[in-house]
Amino acid sequence: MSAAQLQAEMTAFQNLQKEFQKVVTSRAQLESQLKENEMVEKEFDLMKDDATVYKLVGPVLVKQDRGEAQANVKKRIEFIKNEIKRLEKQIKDMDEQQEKKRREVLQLQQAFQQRQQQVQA
Amino acid sequence: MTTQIDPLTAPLEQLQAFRQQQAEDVETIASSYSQLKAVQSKYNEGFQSVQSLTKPNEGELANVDHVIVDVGTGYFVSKSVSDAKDYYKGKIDYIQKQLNGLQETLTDRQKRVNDLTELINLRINMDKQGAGKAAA
Repeated sequence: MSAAQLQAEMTAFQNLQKEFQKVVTSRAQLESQLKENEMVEKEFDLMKDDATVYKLVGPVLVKQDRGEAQANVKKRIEFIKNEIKRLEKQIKDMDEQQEKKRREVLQLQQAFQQRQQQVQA
Repeated sequence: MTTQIDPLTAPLEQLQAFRQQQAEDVETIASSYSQLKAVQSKYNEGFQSVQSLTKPNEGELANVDHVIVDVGTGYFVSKSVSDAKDYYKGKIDYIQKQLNGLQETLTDRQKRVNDLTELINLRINMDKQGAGKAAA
């Protein structure tokens, strides 16, 4: 086992950490989208009967049927919730992978250091 | 997370690392605070706009009873002027609650950083004196 191998393992660990961070960030973004959509859902529920819903399509405000808009938002919320569940599983798996790799790297480091000391003795 | 760190015997690097971490927290919280404040000011603009629509203008009464409000994710809802005002007021108050909470955390965290800085300086002095005595 050479210094180059140790370095490669450490780089692999750092890459795992980077990927992990990306997924965590994605999850946070989804969380915030979920909150925003839930607020819109609440708005639609509280809406007065004589009120109108519009959707911004490009630069144009288009009138929407209230029921349709409500259904759309509910669908979006379901979708986002499922995505979050999927990411959460991914996060759990990646966390385990990271932990395993971390222990591997630690062992390699210790073995390497011991060998260095023997060589110098 | 509560880790028991003995301020007098914990390695100096550990104290400094902890302080660094807390200082970064302060940065993050302060940044969140300004972002929230910016959002609140947007809602305030909305409130002011609706407010100004109902102000009589030199004897001329604005003939507005409904406005269209951006409720998020690309959707807009028409509301009566008073409902619109309530909507904005609700958002403004909600954000204010969040801001107050953040402010508390910010103050608390900043105090921690200050305490740690004092402690670290104290330890550095203690170490210097110890080294001085040993050399003497």
